[in-house]
Amino acid sequence: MTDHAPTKNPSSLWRLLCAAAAFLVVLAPWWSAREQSGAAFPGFVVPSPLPRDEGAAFFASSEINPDSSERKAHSGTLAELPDGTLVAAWYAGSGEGAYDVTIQMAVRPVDGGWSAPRSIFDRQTVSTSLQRHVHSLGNPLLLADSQGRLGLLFVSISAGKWSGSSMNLSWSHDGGSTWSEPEKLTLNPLANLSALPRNPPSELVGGGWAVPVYEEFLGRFPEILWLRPENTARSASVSRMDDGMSVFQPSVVPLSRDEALAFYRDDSGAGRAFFSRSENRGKSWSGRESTVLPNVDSGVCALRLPDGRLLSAVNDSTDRKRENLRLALSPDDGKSWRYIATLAEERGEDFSYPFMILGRDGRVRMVYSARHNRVVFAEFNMAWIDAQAAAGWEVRP
Amino acid sequence: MTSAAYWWSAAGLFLLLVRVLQVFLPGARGLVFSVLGSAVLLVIPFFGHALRYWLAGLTLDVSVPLVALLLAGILERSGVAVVFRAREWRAAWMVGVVAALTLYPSALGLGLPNFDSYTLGWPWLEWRSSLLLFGPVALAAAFLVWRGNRFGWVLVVAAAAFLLAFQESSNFWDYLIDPLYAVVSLVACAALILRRSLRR
Repeated sequence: MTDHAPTKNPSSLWRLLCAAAAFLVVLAPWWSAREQSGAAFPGFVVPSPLPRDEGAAFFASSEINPDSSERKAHSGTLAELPDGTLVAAWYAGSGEGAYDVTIQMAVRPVDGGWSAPRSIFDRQTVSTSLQRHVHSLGNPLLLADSQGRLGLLFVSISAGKWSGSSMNLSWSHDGGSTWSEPEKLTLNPLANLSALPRNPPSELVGGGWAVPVYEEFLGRFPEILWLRPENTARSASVSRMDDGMSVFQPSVVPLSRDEALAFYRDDSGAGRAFFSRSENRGKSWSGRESTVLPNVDSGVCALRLPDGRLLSAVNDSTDRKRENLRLALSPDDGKSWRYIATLAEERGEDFSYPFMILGRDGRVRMVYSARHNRVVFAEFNMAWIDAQAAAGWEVRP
Repeated sequence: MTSAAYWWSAAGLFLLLVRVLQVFLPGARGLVFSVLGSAVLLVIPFFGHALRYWLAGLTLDVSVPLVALLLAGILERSGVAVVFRAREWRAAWMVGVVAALTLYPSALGLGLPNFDSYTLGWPWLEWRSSLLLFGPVALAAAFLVWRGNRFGWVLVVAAAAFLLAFQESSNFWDYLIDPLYAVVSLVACAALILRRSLRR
């Protein structure tokens, strides 16, 4: 460091002009963004009325990857294309964060069964696209817009495990047959580490998505990933949903264009799922409140049924075991809950990471991880839910 | 990754390597060897990948101030030119410390409910609030330029680079600061304070 470089002494006017120019140049990007800011929080798309299946009670369940030889298949996601075709994706390999993990996908046409799973991304192809080392992949999330375009968010891990991950976005215009080269989203200033998707996205008015995501670098906390209508990596931004590091993996349930509820996986040791509410299109969220739903560090997913009740899928456990997966129903926006069905239960096994969507035909469709390496698909209608609810039992705090 | 973002990332890593090698290779001749050595290190494969791949995997996207400091440091260390005087270095460390303390704690989940200072770097997200970032940076740049401090122009270049989407990130913070610049600034400021208090 030296202070002896030759300096000239420019006039005061010249310095003032330079300072004004510097001021204006730094403010230019801020000023140029003023027109886009009006569409920053456009509100949630909530069909009114929500589609409803009026048929007889119906429930069906099957494995999407029955012949899987991988030791781990997890974090399933589901989307419905405009023609009713279902697309499911998950990650599979020898273990979480392993080199051989790939993102796998299967398709179910309206009048058919699930196709054989196929790998759509592995770490080598992602590494080549992103021009950087990729150690493993994980947490896919499908986005299907009303134009038939299919998006896929997933994480790539460059170092460590989940805390060393960053999120990528790819698009398909042919129902998932081919995918664009993934683009990396920059969502965190600390080396862009640790943003992960998990629960269903919500479509926004005018295009774009609100995707519930979470961070887990030094602490876990929930965020909303905002993808603007152009849906490119550079259009992505995130906003915080909760202070501190007590909850994560949000599941967002839009109630109207302005209002939404969010349910969270507990990371505080309280043993209960939490929820909060937004009344300004997801821009800010109320302080978290405890629900009566049990939650010991396991994924929770919720959705709104056509009659306004909320349906959630949870692990009913007082420890970290995930030996069952139950459905619960709430008539009062999450304040009270009743179990209506047990989807899976077996001592020593693992049933977890439920992911639910409401189909255009009014049926609820879901996927969840079973026995560590199976992805189970289940679908049911309102009549089945009502029949189950009649024999339901209270979820006690 | 756009080609501009690709080359920005590659150039940042290259300058970083040159500056590290210069620690052992001072002077003009050292500069030549450092440049050649860095170029070789970036392209030769280690365990199947070029070093650039490994470093980029850690998302070491450098900020505009760090690039400016590396360039200035490289030229000074090699004896080619003195671009930054002591006051420019001091301004750089102070801007780095203020930015780091404003950004990183809340980005790690600390701070106020529902608030993350990183969101201020996306001006389209909350336009009015983001003036809390762009305003002080504009004032700091204007003040430094008015005082004849060249680091003010570095802030101007950071804003221009953001406008032109030079980096992979679309957040203004990433053009202003990166973890390496933050750590170096904190250490340099701590050393400055320690030196002053020892002098007393």
